[in-house]
Amino acid sequence: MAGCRQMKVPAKRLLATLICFALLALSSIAASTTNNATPIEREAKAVMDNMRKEANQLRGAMSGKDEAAQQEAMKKYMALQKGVIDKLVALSKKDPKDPGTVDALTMIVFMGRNSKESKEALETLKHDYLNSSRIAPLCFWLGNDQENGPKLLKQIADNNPDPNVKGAALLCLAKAVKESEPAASQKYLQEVVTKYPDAHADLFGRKMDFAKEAKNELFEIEHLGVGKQAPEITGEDADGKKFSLSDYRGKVVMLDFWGDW
Amino acid sequence: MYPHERSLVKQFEGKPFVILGVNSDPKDHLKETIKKQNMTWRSWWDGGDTDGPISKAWNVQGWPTIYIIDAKGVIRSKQTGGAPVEDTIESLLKEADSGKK
Repeated sequence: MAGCRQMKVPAKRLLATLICFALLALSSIAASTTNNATPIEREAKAVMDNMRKEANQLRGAMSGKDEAAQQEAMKKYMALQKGVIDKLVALSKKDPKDPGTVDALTMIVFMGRNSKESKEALETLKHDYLNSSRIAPLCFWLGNDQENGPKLLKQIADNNPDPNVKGAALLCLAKAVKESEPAASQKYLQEVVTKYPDAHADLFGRKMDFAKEAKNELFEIEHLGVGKQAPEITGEDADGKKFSLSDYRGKVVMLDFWGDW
Repeated sequence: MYPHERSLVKQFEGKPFVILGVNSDPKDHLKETIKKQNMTWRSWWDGGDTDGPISKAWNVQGWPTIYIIDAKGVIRSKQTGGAPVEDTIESLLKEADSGKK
């Protein structure tokens, strides 16, 4: 589902964005299973597939112009989501030894946002599954928790045995402390590149290469910080005419990355 | 977004200031928006989505992201939060102007 972006969204698009995010999270976590799916993993995937089917039916009304239909669809979506969370909660308790439990719990965390279920699922993951090889997706959630995320990510990076998870945790940690601890952030990024060059995971339907992401972050630190000479940009405008950033040397430039959504 | 940018263009008319956009929409959409929003400034078309070459090269992860670059090509400010840019632009214009004397 390309087209979902992290950004500051005007309120009217917030719901659509959140739903999109939830659906992405669901599809990615399930996508990581192939032939060796555990029973819980399979059941969780079935719950999600069903949710996605039903959510897709509501999407038209939710983004349409008919306000009444929109509200109705939203109500249905909320009910659907609650039902799915309840199913996942039950699933997560069914066989705690089944590693697929991590998938179910992670789905609850992503979908439930700040709900009671989401908080409880997060606690369970912290308490029992921090060494699971399946918690790379969770690292991305933790990266957004300014208060508690960094400490937990550091714990995961230090103690989780799986190199993919370590890579994910260090990357997310680096991003989380980018502003507050820039030197540490840079150190974590370099660690990903040197120690975990092959770390990867299937996230949001895309294969994420953590070392590559870390290199991009390091590039930004090295070349895109205040005081650095801006790298050249060359490309085409809407009419296909080529132009470069250096064409405007001598002028103060406001470089604006934007989209009309 | 657009009204603010139009007002910046107006505020600094006649001065060595320019807005350059990097756009992540499909090309037709970009063309439409330029017309509809009366965008008198130029944008690079970055391939139609948020993973275009320019956005990737600049490691952009949130939209909008704004960099202010001075007349010598040095990055002087970066922000993603919508903080006001007028004062920064004003002071950089003064700096460029005094550099010429």
